[in-house]
Amino acid sequence: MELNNEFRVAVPAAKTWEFLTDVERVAPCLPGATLLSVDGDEFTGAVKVKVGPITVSYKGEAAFQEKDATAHRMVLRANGKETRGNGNAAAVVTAQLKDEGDATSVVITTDLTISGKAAQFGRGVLADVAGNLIGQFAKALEADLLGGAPAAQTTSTASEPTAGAAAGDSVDLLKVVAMPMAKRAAPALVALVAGAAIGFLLGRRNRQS
Amino acid sequence: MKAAAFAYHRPDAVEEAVDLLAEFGDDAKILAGGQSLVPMLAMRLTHFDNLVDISRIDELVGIDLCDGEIRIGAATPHAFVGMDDEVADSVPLLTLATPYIGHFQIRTRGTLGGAIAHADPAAEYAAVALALDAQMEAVSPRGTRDIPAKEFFTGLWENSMATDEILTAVRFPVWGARSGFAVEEFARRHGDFAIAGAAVAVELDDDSRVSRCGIGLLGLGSTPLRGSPAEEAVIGRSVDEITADEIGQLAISALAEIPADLQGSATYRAGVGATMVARAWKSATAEASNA
Amino acid sequence: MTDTVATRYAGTRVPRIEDNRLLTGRGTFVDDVSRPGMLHACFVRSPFAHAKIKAIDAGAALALPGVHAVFTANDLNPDVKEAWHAVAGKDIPDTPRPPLAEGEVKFVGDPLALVVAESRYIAEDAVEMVDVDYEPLPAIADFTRAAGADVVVHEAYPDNVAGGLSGAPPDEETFSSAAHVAEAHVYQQIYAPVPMETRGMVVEWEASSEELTVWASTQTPHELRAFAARLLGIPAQGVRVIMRDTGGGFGQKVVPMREDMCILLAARKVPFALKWIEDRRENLMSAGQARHVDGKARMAFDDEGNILAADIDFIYDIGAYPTPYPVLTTAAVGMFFPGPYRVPKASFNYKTVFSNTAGLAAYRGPWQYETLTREILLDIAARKIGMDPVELRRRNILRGDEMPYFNPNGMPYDHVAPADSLEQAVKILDHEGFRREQREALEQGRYLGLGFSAYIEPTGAATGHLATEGATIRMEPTGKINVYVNGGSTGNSLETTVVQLTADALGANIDDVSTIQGDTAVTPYGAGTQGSRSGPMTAGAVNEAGTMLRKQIVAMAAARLGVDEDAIELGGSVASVREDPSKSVTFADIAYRSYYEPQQLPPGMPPTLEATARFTSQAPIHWANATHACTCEVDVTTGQVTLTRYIVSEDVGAMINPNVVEGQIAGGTVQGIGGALLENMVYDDDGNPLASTFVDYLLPTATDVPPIEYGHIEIPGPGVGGYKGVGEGGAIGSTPAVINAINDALAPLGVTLTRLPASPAAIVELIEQARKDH
Repeated sequence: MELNNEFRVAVPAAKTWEFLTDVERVAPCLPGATLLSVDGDEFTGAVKVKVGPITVSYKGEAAFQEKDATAHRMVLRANGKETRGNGNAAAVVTAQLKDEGDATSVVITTDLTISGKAAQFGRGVLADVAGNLIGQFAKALEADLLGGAPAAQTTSTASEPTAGAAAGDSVDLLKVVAMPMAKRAAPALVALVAGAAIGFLLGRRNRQS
Repeated sequence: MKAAAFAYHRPDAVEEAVDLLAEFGDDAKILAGGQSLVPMLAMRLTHFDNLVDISRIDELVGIDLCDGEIRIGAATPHAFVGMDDEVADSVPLLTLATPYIGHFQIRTRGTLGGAIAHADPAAEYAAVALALDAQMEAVSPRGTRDIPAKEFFTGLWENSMATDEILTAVRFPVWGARSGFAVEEFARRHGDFAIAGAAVAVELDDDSRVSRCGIGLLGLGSTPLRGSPAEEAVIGRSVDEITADEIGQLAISALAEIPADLQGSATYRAGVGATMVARAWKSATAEASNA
Repeated sequence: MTDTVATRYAGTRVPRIEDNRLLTGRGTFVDDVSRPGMLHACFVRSPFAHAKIKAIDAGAALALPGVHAVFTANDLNPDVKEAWHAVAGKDIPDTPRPPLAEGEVKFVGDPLALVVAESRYIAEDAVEMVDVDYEPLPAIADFTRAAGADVVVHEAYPDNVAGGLSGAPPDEETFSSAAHVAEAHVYQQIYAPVPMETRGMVVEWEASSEELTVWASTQTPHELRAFAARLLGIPAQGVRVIMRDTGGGFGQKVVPMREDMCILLAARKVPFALKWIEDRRENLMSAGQARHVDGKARMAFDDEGNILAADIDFIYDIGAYPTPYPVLTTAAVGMFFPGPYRVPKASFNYKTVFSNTAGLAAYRGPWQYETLTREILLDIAARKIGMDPVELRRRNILRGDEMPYFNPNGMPYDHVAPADSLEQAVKILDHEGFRREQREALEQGRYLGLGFSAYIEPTGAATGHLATEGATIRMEPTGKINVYVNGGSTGNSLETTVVQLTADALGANIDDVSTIQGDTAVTPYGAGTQGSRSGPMTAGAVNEAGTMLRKQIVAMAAARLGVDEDAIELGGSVASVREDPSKSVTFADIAYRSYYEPQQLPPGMPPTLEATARFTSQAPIHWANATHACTCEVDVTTGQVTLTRYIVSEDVGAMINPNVVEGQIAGGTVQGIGGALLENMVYDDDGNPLASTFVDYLLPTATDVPPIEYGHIEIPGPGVGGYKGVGEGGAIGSTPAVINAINDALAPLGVTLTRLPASPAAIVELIEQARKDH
């Protein structure tokens, strides 16, 4: 399944690129995940995707295939296996930045394959939440880029729930939760999370009867 | 299809249930009728270490008419709601919606609060709550609060309550004398999830102009939705001025993310949705006009 | 039957003897079986449609308390001694069928490891903990693109074609010169039997005596026994298969499949009985699937609408692991395509194609595609020629006086009168009245439609191991009767019908007759329930054994009453003198003397009150026939189809029990309605099965089907009693009748639906397309 997402931040391309490849700054914008290890351009992590009562936890690895700072293009392969269950999520994510002077548009193309229980249902009541997810990410990213301070806009820590925010370390779509993150993992984990969440929720464009 | 092991708790009072949720956090889930949760557990699509069964808490079961509202306890089974005379007189939209909920066995165990909290986009009571601007009562360690229906449904199977909040009741307003109500739903078979549906409430003033209108839509997004463009278009107008088909088209015109799935494309669903709104509008306005 | 006995029960609506226990929840299905220390099985199944298995790490699973074993292909597959099936024979070039997946998984749900634990709960916990390292490979889920594709399902078949066949080539000259030619491209979706009881078995190996006991959900207990013995290389004498109640088979339980093989192979490696019962998701995803066909059909007509030639060319999806032997069983589609009509020339051509989906298994009338395609095509032709579809059929359908008739593929039709079943259906329907109603409705903007379909069906085909049937009938010391037949009763009322026949054969009260079926230690060999054989074959077997036992009873009664044997009449469990009924002796007394006072029998008279016979069918096929007629209304805005009337006008020969006949027809008809409108086993492009639960796989319910109206015609078949088979027909004739009704309703809009199922969305799309095209 192919998914396309786009967002725009009112920040120049070079700064956006730098920010996107600096995990410590991107992490708080990212609907939660955990980094487990980093080894050069390869890293492992875990993601818990929650859609209402349904939870799917993936553990996986990702690696940069391409990181072109001149062309502002990165390609990432991510692969996650369900920790509890039999399924798999694999994504090839291409992120392309476009310089628009004072702003940058970011185009993300994801080639996603989901297998396991999550992929074996036909009832897709689902709107395309990729837009929502990336939108939240973009808003937080933009605020962060403009505000200058990392984690400035994050709303809650794990122990203090507020209306609309969820406690714990799972990804709740449309909610933003802060998590401390190590460097350089962000794009991969965005991909994995977005991919897993999107795939799980199924923008099932190709799955009509 | 055997669920993984879990601890089962059955509190007798709401306070106890609230304490349990606070204690276990994400590792606990409320169990009421179980008609949505248990299949998910059995298929291992989800797992919780603790289930907190609230189905026997007396204060959560009940139907009361008070101050122009019907207040229904969250653990009240669908069947009770559907059979209740006060509900039929005061909030007929609930009575009309009930027969569409699964099959009668499901309605005997499933609860109104459970269905609304589960927030399925094709849930009949959720669409009714949205159409009528119902109020959801939620209880947590921080006390009680009301959540208006339009803030409650936030995404697929997601509501705006915190993890430690329990839905304890829903209050549905009673509409005026010159009102009409209708529910039209299209499903593949009797009892199936709606492909698309509409719950319509309309109230007329003394000049037979529309004074109030609520159109709840099922199955047309990731949450139940309002057909706002249609509602806005009819306010102040006589029912003869707009055709049912126009209302149907208007109701779905602003929908951005109509689902496509095994049952059909987004275009197909939108068409069916418009037809359901049109049919429900015809019935509801006919009833209101004769009231 | 001799003259001494009147038929009293056969032909009547005797209430079913199975019902008391089944309707009160006291049947014995596989999951009701409990053995001391019994262990439970659960398979680890592939989430990928195609992948290499790089490693299987069961460490965590084995460490879980309550887990006894985790078997993989290395553990089980080498123990296979012989794995051929009687349905296909030893020598066919069978397709691959490893018990557990070896090296590669080839469909989502493919079993690659077997967990054995103390409970199914623990087994499922352990399945989640088995860590399999997969290397995903490209998959081909769409069989229409599989032949010659880059993705290869089985290495031994590099073009993904298992084989094919063709008859004589089409007569293109006739097709090009005919007054009218109609064509249709018909695509049929995957749907499946969905028995209420899923597949399963309990297998218990007793090492000390080397005995294997199998409680199975099966249609063929004796063949399962033979297969199990061959599989494990143990003497069949030491194998016992017991089936008590099986909750539906419909062809899915005729041959033991891969999981069954795994349980049989694992049984000797675990200390206690091993139970496997699949859950519904497993059944939908990995039990046999059926009917996935894509093809083109043509018919040529003269200017009066007489058929000149018929041709069908199709590909059949056999998935990854079909049951044996798909290349040959598919030939029936080609052979029967001409149907119950006068067709001078016919041709067919087909290929069976592998894909990364579960695999083809038989399903009630497995060749149904021939009737589906032909009947849809006839309606298309009728509209093209400008004739009512009923009239076109009338012109071409075979009459009774034309029998025997050899269809153009050499099929020897006989003992049928398809024209009679057509006319009966037309009459029950009130054809003229409906056309009037249809016209009036159209003026009001409502779309009503009428669909007919007619078929002829080979029931009770007597080839190989299907050609005989055994029965033992015994009068017990109490005078009660027990009749033993091989079994296979899976909802088709064999207990009741066999008891009726036996009671008649012996002149016993039906309450004095019981049956024991399904236990291979106790019953004679039989091929089980398949191919609509059980009715005619058990009738023959009961007749032979019954005749022998009746002679014994008559001889004893005659001696006892001091008359000649031909003066004796049997009735009501009593033997009496025809001319003087006051002189009589009860069966109970006859038995008592025989078992407890044998010295009182005349010298030289054997005390035997039991007979065993093996009946050989004299007829190679018992042809049955029916016409289905269906009316519907289509809501053109939602695409919803509502069936308003459903008529089945059938000829299954004499009827042992009209209730049973109607039940069999109703069940098959409802399955066919499901296939027309609702059921669809969809796979996405990656090979994920999307209809893996009943939320997405839609079965017809009581609210989707109108009351079925029956018309019975009884043209006796060639077998004993004139009984013909009735098990499969309903499922064959129904799908096309429904599709034809829809096409008739939508004809004014220029819509013809030939891609199944006729879902509401598909109908709306066709209507919109037709609107645009005008």
